[in-house]
Amino acid sequence: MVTVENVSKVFQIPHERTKTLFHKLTSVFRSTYNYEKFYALRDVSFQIEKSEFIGIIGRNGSGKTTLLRVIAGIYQPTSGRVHVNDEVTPFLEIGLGFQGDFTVRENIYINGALLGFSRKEIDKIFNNIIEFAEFENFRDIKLNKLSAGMQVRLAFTIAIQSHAPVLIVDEVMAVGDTVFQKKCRDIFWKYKKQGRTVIFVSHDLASIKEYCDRVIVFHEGMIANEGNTEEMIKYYKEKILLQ
Amino acid sequence: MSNGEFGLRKSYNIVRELALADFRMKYHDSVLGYFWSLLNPLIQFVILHFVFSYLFVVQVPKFTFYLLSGIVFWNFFHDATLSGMNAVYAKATISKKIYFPRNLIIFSSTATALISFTINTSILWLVVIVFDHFSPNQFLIVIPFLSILLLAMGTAFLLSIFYVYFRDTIQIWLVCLNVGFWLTPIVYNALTAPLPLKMVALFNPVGRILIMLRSFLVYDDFPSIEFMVTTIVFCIIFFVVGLWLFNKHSHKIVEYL
Repeated sequence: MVTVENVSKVFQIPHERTKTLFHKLTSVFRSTYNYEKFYALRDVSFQIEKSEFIGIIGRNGSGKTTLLRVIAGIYQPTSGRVHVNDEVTPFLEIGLGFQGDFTVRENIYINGALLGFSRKEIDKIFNNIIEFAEFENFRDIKLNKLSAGMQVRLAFTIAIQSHAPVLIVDEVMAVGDTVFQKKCRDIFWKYKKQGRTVIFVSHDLASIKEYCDRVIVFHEGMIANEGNTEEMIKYYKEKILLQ
Repeated sequence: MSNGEFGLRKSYNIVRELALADFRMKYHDSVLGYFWSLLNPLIQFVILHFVFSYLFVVQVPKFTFYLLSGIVFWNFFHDATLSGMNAVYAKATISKKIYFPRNLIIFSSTATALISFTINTSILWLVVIVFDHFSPNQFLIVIPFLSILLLAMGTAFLLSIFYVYFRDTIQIWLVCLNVGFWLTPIVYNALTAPLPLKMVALFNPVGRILIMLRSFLVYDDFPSIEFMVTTIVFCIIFFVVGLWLFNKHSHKIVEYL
């Protein structure tokens, strides 16, 4: 179960970003160091029950990714609190914790460790990962030589090895080809059957409609509406996209 | 979330995988591989040895071993602090995507530097045994070895906090290292140096670690207990304070990247 209580996230955006110590010291005398507050999330509260497949939709910049980062523990909320009962596996944007100048093999081992696998356990699942992602010819190639679509394929394959009860999925379908999308669908249906909790973010309303039990609509850092999937998609199309 | 909650086993696995991958990458596309990491200190040694044995003669007994041990330890301090600072940036792609205690970034970059340091220290010890002498006291070099490890990590923690806010921390630190090399008794003897330099060299924690190291490794004697205890305690406190401050600022580190 995931509980988000009155969460706000404020970023300070300096008008003139001081990046060097010299600049910072001199800006004291020039008194130009001021910043704007940007509310990425504004007093957001909701609950996700166990085994729920919940969709989050909203325009770019509406705060979806910030929210996922707060739930995953990557960002700390400025105010409010997030309570997650179970272990979370985040799968945010493109890739997990990938580093381009490491090889595919090294990235698999690093991300396996990040997901809590020991070296022995990764040895066991290594071939499965390679096979599922169709990476037979790319084991020892540096990751940044591969296309974005290939990287997502690998990242998704590693992420689904995790046994964490809560999975965060941010825009997986956007980059994959049809074969890969089919694999994603099979996995999502398997998760639904297993009763795992999935937080699913996508701009693809068709897949939101296909999997989600409930949908939260985000707009300008706030929850614009939440409820039944079909109603929310209708609401999103009419009230937000058409504005 | 603290490291304890996150799981020590899991933390250890992450540090090991990151450190090994970094170490392999460093020497992956090079012909001479690991030899490069030996070449740089070796050339430094040859030049300094020439300058201070023939041009400006320093009065240090067993100068060859004295200088070599100073260079090996100083280079570790140099590499570990710089790579720790860089790692916070180099690992940004990972830390923006998944949660793990951010201090593992510094632990793993130090571990990478530690691999070379362990090999170099073994070579150094072997050189002393082959060309000079062996004594059971030499096993005590583990004390200065661990002290400089703690000191370097503490420094890396503090520097990375600054580095996230101020990008020129790395340039400033390079200057500090340059000056620090000469304020540390690497090519001269702290005890016989002119007074101001002697004071600085004796208050400099790296200098104190070097004095311990050479006592055990080269001169087969002991510095005073008081001298050793204060040095070791300082390194431990410095490490703990560095780690604590880093943890306090670690959530901001990701946001500023």
